[in-house]
Amino acid sequence: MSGHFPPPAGVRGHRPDQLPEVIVWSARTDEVPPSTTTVLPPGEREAARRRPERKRQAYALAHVLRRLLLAAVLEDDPATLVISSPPGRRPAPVGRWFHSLSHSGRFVAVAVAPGPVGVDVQAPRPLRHPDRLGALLSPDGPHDEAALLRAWTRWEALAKATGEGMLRHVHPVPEGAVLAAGHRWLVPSIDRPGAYLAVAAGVPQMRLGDG
Amino acid sequence: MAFDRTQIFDRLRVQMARHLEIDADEIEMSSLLVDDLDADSLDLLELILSLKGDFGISVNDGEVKQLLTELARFLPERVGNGAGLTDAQLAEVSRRLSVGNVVDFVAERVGAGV
Repeated sequence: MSGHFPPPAGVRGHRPDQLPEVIVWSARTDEVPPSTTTVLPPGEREAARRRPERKRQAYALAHVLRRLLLAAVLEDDPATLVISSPPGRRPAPVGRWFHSLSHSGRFVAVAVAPGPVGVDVQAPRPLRHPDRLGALLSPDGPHDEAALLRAWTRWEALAKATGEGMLRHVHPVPEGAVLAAGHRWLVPSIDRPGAYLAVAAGVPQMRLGDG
Repeated sequence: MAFDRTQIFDRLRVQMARHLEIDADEIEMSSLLVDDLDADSLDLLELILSLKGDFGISVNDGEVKQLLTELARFLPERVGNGAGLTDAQLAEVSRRLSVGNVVDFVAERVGAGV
């Protein structure tokens, strides 16, 4: 895919070298101008309103940015896009564009790609069970908060991309290619100061069994 | 170790408020974990891991699926036909799960009076 899609003010754009067709935007709620929620349909606005006050802004911003990014690649009106996100399943593509979003603390991330994609961002946070989490995510690696959150974002990005979500068993996800749900995926971590960010997308010409 | 339902709720509420970084007052029995409290997958996994330490309940680490299958019994409206749940139904369970459902699950597992 070619094309340049500059992010809005205060939002960072990422194009992972390994996944040139994937576009990721990330932002911090206190680094962007107050987001306009006018592009959100009533259902998404109501969902934001239900969230605890401290989480409301990030939830709304993530959904706004998803609409803005999809509208940019589709050259469409962000307010009129029809986005279907069945609970616990991969959101349906809009046109040919798959999409994913994430928010954690003040950080949000959205991704779009012409194939299944998953994105996850985690703000630094204390982990209550680092050793048990580490045994699942990184049995042979360090179990410090940074290493575990980095490993978690790769697992969750992959779980979103495959469509399994939280039903996927928790396991280590390497930076390189990984087989999951019958396909080969790349799950790079993305450098994002202040947070941990990863994206997962399929390698379409390398289906399981092709070699 | 025995807890009554109120003690379980109070304990869960404190832990969840700390973990989710929200005010404990925002957590009610009827709060939905995902749609009201905005819990994500990591929050739910940490909750599972906490059940063992806080209440002595054993759930296989990392197996959210197993816990959701058990929790499905506590939803007010039945999901599935009782012959095992599909992934789509388990996803529906996660979306409809309330704090009160987790309290009921813990109460049953620790033998508390409900």
